[in-house]
Amino acid sequence: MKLTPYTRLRAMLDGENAGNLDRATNMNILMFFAAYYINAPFGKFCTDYNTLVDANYRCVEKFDIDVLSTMSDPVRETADFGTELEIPEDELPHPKKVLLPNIEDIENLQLFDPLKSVRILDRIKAIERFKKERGDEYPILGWVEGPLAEASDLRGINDALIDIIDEDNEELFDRLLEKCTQEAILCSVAQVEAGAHIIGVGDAACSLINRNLYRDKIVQYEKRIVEAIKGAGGIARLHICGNINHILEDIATAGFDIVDIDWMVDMKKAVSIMEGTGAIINGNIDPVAIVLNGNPDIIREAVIKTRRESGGRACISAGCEIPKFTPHENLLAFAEALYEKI
Amino acid sequence: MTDLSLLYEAILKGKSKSAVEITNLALADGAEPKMLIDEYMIKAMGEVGRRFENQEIFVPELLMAGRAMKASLNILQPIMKSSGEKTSIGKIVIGTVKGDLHDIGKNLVASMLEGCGFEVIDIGIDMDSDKFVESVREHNADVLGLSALLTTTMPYMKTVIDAFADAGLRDKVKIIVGGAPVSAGFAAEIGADGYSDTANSAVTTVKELLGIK
Repeated sequence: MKLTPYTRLRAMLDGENAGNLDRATNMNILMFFAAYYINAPFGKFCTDYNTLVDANYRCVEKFDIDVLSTMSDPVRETADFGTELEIPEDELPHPKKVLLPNIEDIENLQLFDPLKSVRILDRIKAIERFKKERGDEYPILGWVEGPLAEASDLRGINDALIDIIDEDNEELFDRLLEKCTQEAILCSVAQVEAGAHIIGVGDAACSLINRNLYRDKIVQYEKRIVEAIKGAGGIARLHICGNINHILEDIATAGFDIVDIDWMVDMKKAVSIMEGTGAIINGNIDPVAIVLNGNPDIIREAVIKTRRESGGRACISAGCEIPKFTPHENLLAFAEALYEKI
Repeated sequence: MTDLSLLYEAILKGKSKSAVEITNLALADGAEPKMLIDEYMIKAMGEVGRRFENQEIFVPELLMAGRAMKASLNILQPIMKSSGEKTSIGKIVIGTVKGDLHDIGKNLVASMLEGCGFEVIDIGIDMDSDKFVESVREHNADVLGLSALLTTTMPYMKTVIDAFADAGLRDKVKIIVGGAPVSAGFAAEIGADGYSDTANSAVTTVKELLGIK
């Protein structure tokens, strides 16, 4: 039976080794690259779901990508919480100023209904269009910000990272994490109900904190988001940019189905830690040194090496977003190397 | 007499209130501000840097230590200035380049440099080359630190370096670069004087460039 991107991923999640499939799964993250590929301004890619959908279609077909993604920028929930954004024509949207300059402002933070929002609703519309036009051919990837990432977007990352260990602010910061979690659950469920197969949880700031903080403060919230995603029938994926070697064992307790790892994480160790948890790894080629600055030969070698290190128990992608100016021949070489028998 | 090892501990553990309290007690006991900085505070930040480098502590602990250090410095530096004492071992302008809004890496580097005795002028994020030139000129800085987290913004570092050459200031200031996608090779390619991949090694690089032991 010919595999589709969805059945290929499903086989991996059901425990199949990639070596027994037609090729390894290609889960590269395309945002700036996708907009640039169709000559669309990045601001439009972030704010107009039709642009995002069209860019995804063009890229998945050209570069053998196995996922239709709704990833664009980290401030969709932040905006719907009430933060005023600057949306430059061709750069990353960002807050004009943080919504919660004082942690006490948490008292005024209200949850929003994803179906009556602006930016999360735009993402939901992208999911609906993907589902209507492609059904279950490709896994459709919805997205939410994880508790610490969203708290950092609302407070500003420097203040959030101090709040998390400042005894004076501990209780208020816990309340902020709780609210961010509740909103992530609402947004996750709404996206699964709209047709998303996978919900990615982006919790980038977690690579910056120590293991005890991650285990004691964050995992409990991430677990609740995972339970909500799975309860709604979705697949839960975690994405934390940066070095997460020190928290992999705690991540393994959170229940995610797919765990992304960046290039500085040890693939063999990550696969070994996730063994028996039901989770598969996704990663982890260096997006800059290899994918952007390498050439097809270097990329082929890196993909094969990563596949070998994973023992067939990982989806393959760059450790983080594919850089905007990545040469097309490099991404084509990436895709070709997934077919090679190793 | 105040137990000054408590000042070292307060900074190491990021306890701002304790650091302020002990600093004030030490001054009341007649301690010299420079001695407090050199013998206790800078050493504490050196240990913070070592632990950060070895992943014994992470970003929140480093930020807290930097905040405690700054709280004490805010008490000591005015006293030193009023008596004509030198309050820093070098002056650094630091910022994230145009188009890039990331500031955590830059802030960590700024915090470590400040904690190790440098005066740091942090001009913020999304800064164009004119602003860097203007700030270095205005503050007569010894070193310029450029940060970028995005592959799309790192080429702008060369634009900034070229602007210093055009302004006739290139030989007057050392320029270091850093940020996730930046490498030593890229730094050399664009004509930077130094590169650093961690907050701690930024201090070592700056000291080497300025001949400080």
